[in-house]
Amino acid sequence: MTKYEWDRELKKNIHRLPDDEIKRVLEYYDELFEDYIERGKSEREIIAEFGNPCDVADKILADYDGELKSDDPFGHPPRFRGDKSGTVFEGHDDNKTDVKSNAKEPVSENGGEDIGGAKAEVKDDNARTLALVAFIVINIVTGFAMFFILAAVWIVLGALVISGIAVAGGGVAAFVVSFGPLFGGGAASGLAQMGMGVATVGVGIAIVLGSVALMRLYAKGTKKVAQWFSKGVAK
Amino acid sequence: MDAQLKKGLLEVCVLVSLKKEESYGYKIINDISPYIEVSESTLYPILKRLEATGCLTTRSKEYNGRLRKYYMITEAGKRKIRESISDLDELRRVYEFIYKEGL
Repeated sequence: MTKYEWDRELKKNIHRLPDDEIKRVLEYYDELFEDYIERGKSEREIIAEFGNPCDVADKILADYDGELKSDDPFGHPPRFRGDKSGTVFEGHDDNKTDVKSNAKEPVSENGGEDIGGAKAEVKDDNARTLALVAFIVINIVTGFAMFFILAAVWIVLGALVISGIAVAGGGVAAFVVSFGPLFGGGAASGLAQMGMGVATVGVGIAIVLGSVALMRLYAKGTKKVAQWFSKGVAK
Repeated sequence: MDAQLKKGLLEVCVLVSLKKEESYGYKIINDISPYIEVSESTLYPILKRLEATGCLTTRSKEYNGRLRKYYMITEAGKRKIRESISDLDELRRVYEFIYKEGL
């Protein structure tokens, strides 16, 4: 396996992570790879050292999911808070670690740890429920909006086709009508009118063909986006 | 070794390896692997968590025509080392008890 293949395999397996996280992982391994190469290791040795990309991906995913679940890395958090200083976890207030720090909020009194932990747990649950409700509401709203936008585009395209046909029809009518003046004495104006009619038919046909092409393109695009979404959901 | 315990020890080992000067992935692995088993894939989440908890910061520096990520310990990281040392003192007493009485 080459580094390229290894990367591809890893990327495939951590695909559900946010893009910047994927980028971070790949940069981390790229840098290590370069450092190993510069110290004379072969590509094969390095890949063997890195291990199976699927296992590496599993580790990353497990860690990523675990992080959202507020488990403690050191295994015994109570000693790190409470009576000591209560300031151990400062600098924690960025969004990423919010959930985690909730569960670890420093508790100033010695015996209060359990109560503090339970409180944080409840707060945690509430936040999660709230987030879920917000997620559903946002999805319904954006779903409706999306639906209307999609429908509106179809209507516009349909109207374009109809208007194209109408223009072409008008052109044919003008063409037919032009026979009157042509044979009724005014040959020049008759001819001009006839030419106008033919040109109008051309324009009408062009509009119809153009909007049909647009419809095809749009249908194709919609299908692609839908596939992309369903792939995301399936993952 | 117990996974949680090892994760905790690894975090402290990484911080200790950064105490003197900033370091980067390859060097950290080399510095601590004589003392504790560590692989590329175990180091990644450790570094990530230490950064998220404010124990270290990072910066990218050019090296040999490419970017390398350097990790630097923060005050919170140093504090964490001190706390771990007092934890380990406690652990040593337990260890001595288990070792003496359990064997």
